[in-house]
Amino acid sequence: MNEKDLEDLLRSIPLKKPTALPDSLPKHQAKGYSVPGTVLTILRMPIPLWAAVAAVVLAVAASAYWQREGKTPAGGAVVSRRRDGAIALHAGPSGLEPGPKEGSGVKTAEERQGGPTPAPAAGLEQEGFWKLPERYERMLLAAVESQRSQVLGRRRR
Amino acid sequence: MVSRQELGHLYQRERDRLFTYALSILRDQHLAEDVVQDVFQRLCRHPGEPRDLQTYVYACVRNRALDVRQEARSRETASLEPAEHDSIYSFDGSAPWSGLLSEERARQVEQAIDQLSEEEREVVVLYVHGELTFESVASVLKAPLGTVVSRYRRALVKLRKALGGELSP
Repeated sequence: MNEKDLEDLLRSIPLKKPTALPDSLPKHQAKGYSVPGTVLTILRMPIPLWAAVAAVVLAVAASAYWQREGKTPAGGAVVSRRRDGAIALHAGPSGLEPGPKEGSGVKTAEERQGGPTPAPAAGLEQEGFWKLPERYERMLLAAVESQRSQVLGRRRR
Repeated sequence: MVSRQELGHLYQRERDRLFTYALSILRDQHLAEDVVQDVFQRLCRHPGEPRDLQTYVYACVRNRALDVRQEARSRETASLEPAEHDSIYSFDGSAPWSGLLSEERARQVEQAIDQLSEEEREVVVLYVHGELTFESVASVLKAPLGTVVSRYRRALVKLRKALGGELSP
């Protein structure tokens, strides 16, 4: 048996064929980016619970703010739209404190004593949305001051 | 840079031979298929600029197969399970048999090849079944040409002895 015979003998034995390999390479390379894939990735993204809750709270607050036009928020503030289209937010009766209604001609205690005047109305579009916490702070202070003035007025009487 | 078309042609031409080579290293059909597929997937993403694409792909398959074998051996050591070895030859009747060769003779050849050292077996598989030249085999194995040729000669002598025939010089 010479070298050639031995090589022929080796080559004559059938080789095992692959069973799971494709016959050819795929013609197109898989896309690196797809919209459904990106959406799925975002949906599967692990987000901390506090961040998710904070996002929901912010979304609800923003939505409530934009839908609250013309309604009376807690603390007695009144939101209204002015003629020029600007949203005006000013302190108003909360409905809890006793006192005459608007237009009744009867002055309240602070009006008689020259107490604090309500916060001046200003358009939100002029001040900006980010001024809202400051506005609420002012309104709360005004409400507290109003209550205190009423209590002091009753004591004097 | 290698085009996708070139890679596709090479894949169609060399797929079975690359699988045989990977199988001779790994002795596991599924791992060998995974290695070939993995190498071509990587080449599709990062083709590179090889001087000889065929030799380059064989070298990639060799490197990947050696890595996979190392990982598989680590797992076997951890699990202490005996590994089963797949042969590069088909004895299940799925491939056509030469009329002159009996299955018994084929089994003898397989056993004789198994007795070769890993380096000798690699040269035999690449030269005989991969149909590479000695220069290409040397390039794949990153070994001097003379070393590759002497390994092949040594392997043939061992095979001849195992198969009970004289090898003429």
